[in-house]
Amino acid sequence: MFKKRYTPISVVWETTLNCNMKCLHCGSSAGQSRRNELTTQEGLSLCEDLKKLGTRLITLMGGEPFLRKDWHILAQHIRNLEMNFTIMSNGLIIDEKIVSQLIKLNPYAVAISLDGGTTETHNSIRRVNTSFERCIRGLGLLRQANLPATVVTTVHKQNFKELPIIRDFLLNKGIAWQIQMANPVGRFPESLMLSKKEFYSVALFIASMRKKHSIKELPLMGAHNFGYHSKILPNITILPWIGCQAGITAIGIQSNGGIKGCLSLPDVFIEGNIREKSIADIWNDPDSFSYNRNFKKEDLNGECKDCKHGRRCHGGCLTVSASLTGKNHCDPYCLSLIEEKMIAV
Amino acid sequence: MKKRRELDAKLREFGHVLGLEETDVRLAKRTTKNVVAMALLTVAFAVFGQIMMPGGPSGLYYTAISAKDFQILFGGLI
Repeated sequence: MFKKRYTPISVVWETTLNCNMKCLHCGSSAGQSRRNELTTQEGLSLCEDLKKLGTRLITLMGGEPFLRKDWHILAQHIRNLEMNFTIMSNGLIIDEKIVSQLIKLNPYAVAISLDGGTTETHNSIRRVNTSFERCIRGLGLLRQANLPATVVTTVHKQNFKELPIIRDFLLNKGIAWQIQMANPVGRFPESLMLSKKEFYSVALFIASMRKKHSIKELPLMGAHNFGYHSKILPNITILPWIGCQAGITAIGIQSNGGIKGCLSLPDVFIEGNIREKSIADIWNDPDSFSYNRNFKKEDLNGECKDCKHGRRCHGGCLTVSASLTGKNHCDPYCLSLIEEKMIAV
Repeated sequence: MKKRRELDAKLREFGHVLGLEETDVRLAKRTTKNVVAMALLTVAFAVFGQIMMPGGPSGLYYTAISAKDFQILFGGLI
Protein backbone atom coordinates (compact mmCIF):
# COMPACT_ATOMS: atom_id res chain seq x y z
CA MET A 1 0.00 0.00 0.00
CA PHE A 2 1.21 3.50 -0.79
CA LYS A 3 2.67 5.11 2.31
CA LYS A 4 3.23 8.84 2.39
CA ARG A 5 6.79 9.81 3.26
CA TYR A 6 7.35 12.88 5.42
CA THR A 7 10.52 14.95 5.66
CA PRO A 8 11.41 17.27 8.57
CA ILE A 9 12.67 20.03 6.29
CA SER A 10 12.64 22.70 8.98
CA VAL A 11 13.73 21.94 12.54
CA VAL A 12 13.40 24.25 15.53
CA TRP A 13 15.80 23.20 18.26
CA GLU A 14 15.57 24.60 21.77
CA THR A 15 19.29 24.17 22.49
CA THR A 16 18.86 25.26 26.11
CA LEU A 17 16.08 26.57 28.30
CA ASN A 18 18.62 28.74 30.12
CA CYS A 19 17.75 32.39 29.57
CA ASN A 20 19.02 35.77 30.74
CA MET A 21 15.55 37.32 30.40
CA LYS A 22 12.19 36.51 31.94
CA CYS A 23 9.85 37.66 29.20
CA LEU A 24 6.20 38.14 29.98
CA HIS A 25 5.05 36.16 26.94
CA CYS A 26 7.61 33.34 26.95
CA GLY A 27 5.82 30.21 25.74
CA SER A 28 8.43 27.91 27.28
CA SER A 29 8.73 29.74 30.64
CA ALA A 30 12.47 29.89 30.01
CA GLY A 31 14.92 30.87 32.74
CA GLN A 32 16.65 27.84 34.23
CA SER A 33 18.19 25.12 32.07
CA ARG A 34 16.17 21.91 31.84
CA ARG A 35 17.53 19.04 33.87
CA ASN A 36 19.75 16.88 31.74
CA GLU A 37 19.99 18.94 28.54
CA LEU A 38 21.61 17.34 25.50
CA THR A 39 25.42 17.31 25.61
CA THR A 40 27.58 18.65 22.81
CA GLN A 41 28.19 15.13 21.53
CA GLU A 42 24.48 14.31 21.58
CA GLY A 43 23.78 17.57 19.76
CA LEU A 44 26.34 16.78 17.07
CA SER A 45 24.89 13.28 16.56
CA LEU A 46 21.40 14.77 16.39
CA CYS A 47 22.51 17.06 13.53
CA GLU A 48 23.84 14.04 11.63
CA ASP A 49 20.59 12.14 12.14
CA LEU A 50 18.59 15.13 10.93
CA LYS A 51 20.73 15.43 7.83
CA LYS A 52 19.96 11.79 7.03
CA LEU A 53 16.24 12.51 7.41
CA GLY A 54 16.45 15.30 4.84
CA THR A 55 16.51 18.39 7.06
CA ARG A 56 17.63 21.58 5.32
CA LEU A 57 17.19 24.29 7.94
CA ILE A 58 17.84 24.12 11.69
CA THR A 59 16.77 27.01 13.86
CA LEU A 60 18.75 27.29 17.06
CA MET A 61 16.67 28.87 19.79
CA GLY A 62 16.25 28.79 23.53
CA GLY A 63 15.97 30.04 26.17
CA GLU A 64 18.84 32.10 24.86
CA PRO A 65 20.94 30.03 22.42
CA PHE A 66 24.04 32.19 22.81
CA LEU A 67 24.20 31.18 26.48
CA ARG A 68 25.12 27.68 25.39
CA LYS A 69 28.91 27.71 25.30
CA ASP A 70 29.04 25.23 22.44
CA TRP A 71 26.51 27.06 20.20
CA HIS A 72 29.15 27.78 17.56
CA ILE A 73 30.35 24.16 17.56
CA LEU A 74 26.79 22.99 16.86
CA ALA A 75 26.31 25.69 14.22
CA GLN A 76 29.61 24.82 12.54
CA HIS A 77 28.62 21.16 12.44
CA ILE A 78 25.30 22.06 10.80
CA ARG A 79 27.20 24.03 8.14
CA ASN A 80 29.73 21.20 7.67
CA LEU A 81 26.80 18.88 7.00
CA GLU A 82 25.66 21.34 4.31
CA MET A 83 22.52 22.42 6.11
CA ASN A 84 21.51 25.99 6.91
CA PHE A 85 20.91 27.44 10.32
CA THR A 86 19.00 30.36 11.73
CA ILE A 87 19.54 31.60 15.26
CA MET A 88 16.85 33.27 17.35
CA SER A 89 18.15 35.39 20.19
CA ASN A 90 16.91 38.03 22.59
CA GLY A 91 19.94 40.09 21.55
CA LEU A 92 21.13 40.81 25.08
CA ILE A 93 24.66 39.43 24.78
CA ILE A 94 25.33 39.86 21.08
CA ASP A 95 28.73 41.55 20.91
CA GLU A 96 31.64 41.89 18.51
CA LYS A 97 32.95 38.42 19.37
CA ILE A 98 29.65 36.68 18.64
CA VAL A 99 29.23 38.71 15.43
CA SER A 100 32.70 37.70 14.21
CA GLN A 101 31.84 34.03 14.90
CA LEU A 102 28.54 34.45 13.02
CA ILE A 103 30.30 35.96 10.00
CA LYS A 104 32.40 32.79 9.67
CA LEU A 105 29.34 30.55 10.10
CA ASN A 106 27.23 32.33 7.44
CA PRO A 107 23.77 31.89 9.03
CA TYR A 108 20.57 31.98 7.00
CA ALA A 109 19.12 34.51 9.46
CA VAL A 110 19.93 36.00 12.84
CA ALA A 111 16.70 36.97 14.53
CA ILE A 112 16.39 39.29 17.49
CA SER A 113 13.21 39.91 19.44
CA LEU A 114 12.07 43.52 19.60
CA ASP A 115 8.84 43.82 21.53
CA GLY A 116 8.48 47.53 21.99
CA GLY A 117 9.12 50.74 20.16
CA THR A 118 10.10 52.41 23.40
CA THR A 119 12.66 51.53 26.04
CA GLU A 120 9.97 51.33 28.73
CA THR A 121 7.72 48.88 26.89
CA HIS A 122 10.46 46.57 25.63
CA ASN A 123 12.24 46.48 29.00
CA SER A 124 9.07 45.89 30.98
CA ILE A 125 8.08 42.97 28.73
CA ARG A 126 11.61 41.55 28.74
CA ARG A 127 12.10 42.34 32.44
CA VAL A 128 15.70 43.49 31.99
CA ASN A 129 16.40 47.19 32.37
CA THR A 130 19.08 47.47 29.71
CA SER A 131 17.55 45.11 27.18
CA PHE A 132 16.25 47.69 24.69
CA GLU A 133 19.55 49.52 24.22
CA ARG A 134 21.50 46.24 24.07
CA CYS A 135 19.08 44.74 21.58
CA ILE A 136 19.35 47.82 19.34
CA ARG A 137 23.14 47.72 19.66
CA GLY A 138 23.13 44.02 18.69
CA LEU A 139 21.03 44.78 15.63
CA GLY A 140 23.47 47.53 14.67
CA LEU A 141 26.41 45.12 14.91
CA LEU A 142 24.63 42.57 12.72
CA ARG A 143 23.87 45.22 10.12
CA GLN A 144 27.43 46.53 10.11
CA ALA A 145 28.63 42.98 9.49
CA ASN A 146 26.09 42.62 6.68
CA LEU A 147 24.52 39.59 8.35
CA PRO A 148 20.89 38.73 7.44
CA ALA A 149 19.15 40.29 10.45
CA THR A 150 15.50 39.76 11.33
CA VAL A 151 13.38 41.39 14.00
CA VAL A 152 10.62 39.30 15.54
CA THR A 153 7.88 41.21 17.36
CA THR A 154 5.44 39.24 19.49
CA VAL A 155 2.31 41.28 19.94
CA HIS A 156 -0.14 41.41 22.82
CA LYS A 157 -2.12 44.07 24.65
CA GLN A 158 0.93 45.75 26.17
CA ASN A 159 2.80 46.48 22.96
CA PHE A 160 0.71 46.26 19.79
CA LYS A 161 0.11 50.00 19.67
CA GLU A 162 3.86 50.54 19.29
CA LEU A 163 4.05 48.76 15.94
CA PRO A 164 4.17 52.11 14.08
CA ILE A 165 7.22 53.15 16.15
CA ILE A 166 8.99 49.87 15.40
CA ARG A 167 8.12 50.31 11.72
CA ASP A 168 9.71 53.76 11.68
CA PHE A 169 12.84 52.33 13.28
CA LEU A 170 13.11 49.47 10.78
CA LEU A 171 12.32 51.39 7.60
CA ASN A 172 15.12 51.27 5.00
CA LYS A 173 17.44 49.22 7.20
CA GLY A 174 17.21 45.97 5.22
CA ILE A 175 16.08 44.10 8.33
CA ALA A 176 13.33 41.51 7.82
CA TRP A 177 10.39 41.97 10.20
CA GLN A 178 8.10 39.23 11.43
CA ILE A 179 5.04 40.01 13.54
CA GLN A 180 3.51 37.20 15.54
CA MET A 181 0.81 36.92 18.18
CA ALA A 182 1.49 35.84 21.78
CA ASN A 183 -0.53 32.77 22.80
CA PRO A 184 -1.57 31.80 26.31
CA VAL A 185 1.16 29.17 26.62
CA GLY A 186 3.94 29.02 29.21
CA ARG A 187 4.25 32.25 31.14
CA PHE A 188 1.85 34.35 29.09
CA PRO A 189 -1.53 35.10 30.70
CA GLU A 190 -4.63 34.86 28.52
CA SER A 191 -5.79 38.23 29.88
CA LEU A 192 -3.04 39.97 27.88
CA MET A 193 -3.82 38.26 24.62
CA LEU A 194 -5.04 40.54 21.84
CA SER A 195 -8.79 40.76 21.48
CA LYS A 196 -10.08 39.72 18.07
CA LYS A 197 -10.65 43.35 17.21
CA GLU A 198 -7.05 44.22 18.13
CA PHE A 199 -5.86 41.19 16.21
CA TYR A 200 -7.69 42.41 13.13
CA SER A 201 -6.22 45.88 13.56
CA VAL A 202 -2.72 44.38 13.52
CA ALA A 203 -3.57 42.37 10.40
CA LEU A 204 -4.84 45.55 8.75
CA PHE A 205 -1.62 47.32 9.75
CA ILE A 206 0.53 44.57 8.22
CA ALA A 207 -1.52 44.56 5.01
CA SER A 208 -1.34 48.33 4.73
CA MET A 209 2.40 48.57 5.41
CA ARG A 210 3.17 45.83 2.90
CA LYS A 211 1.46 47.89 0.24
CA LYS A 212 2.69 51.27 1.35
CA HIS A 213 6.35 50.27 1.47
CA SER A 214 8.36 48.26 -1.01
CA ILE A 215 9.99 44.99 0.05
CA LYS A 216 13.32 46.77 -0.04
CA GLU A 217 12.07 49.46 2.35
CA LEU A 218 10.26 47.11 4.72
CA PRO A 219 10.45 43.32 4.25
CA LEU A 220 7.52 42.54 6.54
CA MET A 221 5.35 39.48 7.10
CA GLY A 222 2.75 38.19 9.51
CA ALA A 223 3.73 34.88 11.10
CA HIS A 224 1.93 31.54 10.92
CA ASN A 225 -0.69 32.51 13.52
CA PHE A 226 -1.69 35.72 11.79
CA GLY A 227 -5.00 35.01 10.28
CA TYR A 228 -6.26 33.08 7.35
CA HIS A 229 -8.59 33.38 4.37
CA SER A 230 -9.57 37.01 4.68
CA LYS A 231 -12.20 38.17 2.22
CA ILE A 232 -11.07 41.77 2.59
CA LEU A 233 -7.30 41.79 3.10
CA PRO A 234 -4.61 40.29 0.89
CA ASN A 235 -2.51 37.47 2.27
CA ILE A 236 -0.30 38.92 5.02
CA THR A 237 2.07 36.00 5.36
CA ILE A 238 4.41 35.40 2.46
CA LEU A 239 2.62 32.43 0.98
CA PRO A 240 -0.95 31.23 1.33
CA TRP A 241 -1.57 29.18 4.48
CA ILE A 242 -1.39 25.46 3.74
CA GLY A 243 -2.26 24.16 7.18
CA CYS A 244 -0.19 23.44 10.27
CA GLN A 245 3.05 21.75 9.25
CA ALA A 246 3.91 20.24 12.66
CA GLY A 247 4.99 16.67 11.99
CA ILE A 248 4.56 17.15 8.23
CA THR A 249 7.59 19.25 7.24
CA ALA A 250 8.43 20.73 10.65
CA ILE A 251 9.66 19.33 13.93
CA GLY A 252 10.57 20.79 17.32
CA ILE A 253 13.29 19.45 19.61
CA GLN A 254 13.44 20.29 23.31
CA SER A 255 16.78 20.79 25.05
CA ASN A 256 16.40 17.45 26.89
CA GLY A 257 15.66 15.55 23.67
CA GLY A 258 11.85 15.67 23.76
CA ILE A 259 10.26 15.74 20.30
CA LYS A 260 7.12 17.63 19.24
CA GLY A 261 5.75 18.63 15.88
CA CYS A 262 6.13 22.26 16.90
CA LEU A 263 7.87 23.59 20.01
CA SER A 264 4.97 25.92 20.82
CA LEU A 265 2.60 23.01 21.35
CA PRO A 266 1.91 21.94 24.95
CA ASP A 267 3.87 19.00 26.38
CA VAL A 268 0.99 16.56 25.82
CA PHE A 269 2.12 16.67 22.18
CA ILE A 270 5.55 15.15 22.98
CA GLU A 271 6.00 12.12 20.71
CA GLY A 272 9.11 10.66 22.35
CA ASN A 273 12.65 11.42 23.41
CA ILE A 274 15.75 10.90 21.31
CA ARG A 275 17.52 9.39 24.31
CA GLU A 276 15.02 6.54 24.28
CA LYS A 277 14.40 6.16 20.57
CA SER A 278 16.25 7.58 17.56
CA ILE A 279 14.80 10.66 15.94
CA ALA A 280 14.35 8.65 12.73
CA ASP A 281 12.28 6.07 14.61
CA ILE A 282 10.15 8.77 16.23
CA TRP A 283 9.67 10.64 12.94
CA ASN A 284 8.88 7.51 10.92
CA ASP A 285 6.60 5.92 13.51
CA PRO A 286 3.16 5.59 11.85
CA ASP A 287 1.50 6.69 15.09
CA SER A 288 3.52 9.90 15.44
CA PHE A 289 2.04 13.35 14.72
CA SER A 290 -1.28 11.68 13.98
CA TYR A 291 -3.21 14.94 14.60
CA ASN A 292 -1.80 16.34 11.36
CA ARG A 293 -0.71 13.32 9.34
CA ASN A 294 -4.10 11.66 9.61
CA PHE A 295 -6.12 14.85 9.53
CA LYS A 296 -9.59 14.59 8.02
CA LYS A 297 -12.14 17.32 7.49
CA GLU A 298 -14.27 15.68 10.21
CA ASP A 299 -11.50 16.51 12.73
CA LEU A 300 -12.32 20.21 12.50
CA ASN A 301 -13.94 21.56 15.62
CA GLY A 302 -15.88 24.59 16.79
CA GLU A 303 -16.48 27.31 14.26
CA CYS A 304 -14.08 25.72 11.79
CA LYS A 305 -16.30 22.67 11.43
CA ASP A 306 -18.29 23.86 8.46
CA CYS A 307 -15.71 26.19 6.96
CA LYS A 308 -15.15 25.80 3.23
CA HIS A 309 -11.40 26.34 3.74
CA GLY A 310 -11.17 23.65 6.45
CA ARG A 311 -9.70 20.86 4.36
CA ARG A 312 -6.70 22.97 3.37
CA CYS A 313 -6.46 25.15 6.47
CA HIS A 314 -6.73 22.37 9.11
CA GLY A 315 -8.29 24.95 11.43
CA GLY A 316 -5.35 27.34 11.66
CA CYS A 317 -2.58 27.28 14.24
CA LEU A 318 -2.77 24.16 16.38
CA THR A 319 -1.10 25.87 19.35
CA VAL A 320 -3.61 28.72 19.39
CA SER A 321 -6.44 26.25 18.96
CA ALA A 322 -5.30 23.86 21.71
CA SER A 323 -4.32 26.58 24.18
CA LEU A 324 -7.53 28.58 23.82
CA THR A 325 -10.18 25.95 23.24
CA GLY A 326 -8.62 22.73 24.54
CA LYS A 327 -9.40 21.21 21.13
CA ASN A 328 -7.39 20.76 17.96
CA HIS A 329 -8.19 22.32 14.59
CA CYS A 330 -10.35 25.28 15.61
CA ASP A 331 -8.17 28.39 15.94
CA PRO A 332 -10.64 31.18 16.71
CA TYR A 333 -8.17 33.87 15.65
CA CYS A 334 -9.10 33.61 12.01
CA LEU A 335 -9.55 36.65 9.80
CA SER A 336 -12.36 35.00 7.91
CA LEU A 337 -14.32 34.26 11.10
CA ILE A 338 -13.70 37.73 12.51
CA GLU A 339 -14.92 39.32 9.28
CA GLU A 340 -18.08 37.24 9.32
CA LYS A 341 -18.87 38.20 12.90
CA MET A 342 -17.57 41.71 13.37
CA ILE A 343 -17.69 43.16 9.90
CA ALA A 344 -20.53 41.03 8.54
CA VAL A 345 -19.14 40.26 5.10
CA MET B 1 -23.21 50.88 -1.80
CA LYS B 2 -24.47 51.21 1.74
CA LYS B 3 -22.79 47.92 2.67
CA ARG B 4 -19.51 49.12 1.22
CA ARG B 5 -19.71 52.35 3.19
CA GLU B 6 -20.37 50.37 6.36
CA LEU B 7 -17.43 48.11 5.64
CA ASP B 8 -15.13 51.08 5.03
CA ALA B 9 -16.28 52.71 8.27
CA LYS B 10 -15.61 49.51 10.20
CA LEU B 11 -12.15 49.16 8.67
CA ARG B 12 -11.36 52.79 9.51
CA GLU B 13 -12.35 52.03 13.08
CA PHE B 14 -10.00 49.01 13.17
CA GLY B 15 -7.20 50.97 11.52
CA HIS B 16 -7.55 53.95 13.81
CA VAL B 17 -6.32 51.84 16.75
CA LEU B 18 -2.89 51.68 15.11
CA GLY B 19 -2.86 55.18 13.73
CA LEU B 20 -3.72 54.21 10.17
CA GLU B 21 -5.15 57.03 8.09
CA GLU B 22 -8.04 56.60 5.68
CA THR B 23 -5.68 56.25 2.72
CA ASP B 24 -3.66 53.57 4.57
CA VAL B 25 -6.82 51.61 5.31
CA ARG B 26 -8.00 51.88 1.72
CA LEU B 27 -4.58 50.71 0.59
CA ALA B 28 -4.79 47.62 2.80
CA LYS B 29 -7.78 46.17 0.99
CA ARG B 30 -7.30 43.24 -1.33
CA THR B 31 -7.42 43.93 -5.05
CA THR B 32 -7.48 41.71 -8.10
CA LYS B 33 -3.82 42.61 -8.56
CA ASN B 34 -3.07 41.13 -5.12
CA VAL B 35 -4.82 37.89 -5.95
CA VAL B 36 -2.92 37.56 -9.22
CA ALA B 37 0.39 38.48 -7.54
CA MET B 38 -0.16 35.85 -4.83
CA ALA B 39 -0.94 33.21 -7.44
CA LEU B 40 2.26 34.08 -9.32
CA LEU B 41 4.24 34.05 -6.09
CA THR B 42 2.89 30.63 -5.19
CA VAL B 43 3.99 29.34 -8.59
CA ALA B 44 7.41 31.00 -8.13
CA PHE B 45 7.72 29.32 -4.76
CA ALA B 46 6.71 25.95 -6.17
CA VAL B 47 9.33 26.25 -8.91
CA PHE B 48 12.24 28.03 -7.21
CA GLY B 49 11.43 28.47 -3.54
CA GLN B 50 11.11 24.79 -2.68
CA ILE B 51 14.68 24.30 -3.82
CA MET B 52 16.30 27.60 -2.96
CA MET B 53 14.64 28.34 0.37
CA PRO B 54 16.13 25.90 2.85
CA GLY B 55 13.14 25.85 5.18
CA GLY B 56 10.57 25.14 2.49
CA PRO B 57 7.03 26.23 3.41
CA SER B 58 7.51 25.56 7.10
CA GLY B 59 10.66 27.66 7.15
CA LEU B 60 8.45 30.60 6.39
CA TYR B 61 6.04 29.87 9.20
CA TYR B 62 7.85 28.25 12.09
CA THR B 63 11.18 30.02 12.30
CA ALA B 64 12.17 33.58 11.74
CA ILE B 65 11.83 34.78 8.19
CA SER B 66 15.14 35.73 6.61
CA ALA B 67 15.91 38.72 4.42
CA LYS B 68 17.24 36.02 2.07
CA ASP B 69 13.72 34.55 1.74
CA PHE B 70 12.49 37.92 0.51
CA GLN B 71 15.41 38.13 -1.91
CA ILE B 72 14.70 34.67 -3.33
CA LEU B 73 10.98 35.25 -3.75
CA PHE B 74 10.97 38.90 -4.71
CA GLY B 75 14.51 39.21 -6.05
CA GLY B 76 13.36 40.51 -9.38
CA LEU B 77 11.35 43.26 -7.74
CA ILE B 78 13.97 44.79 -5.43
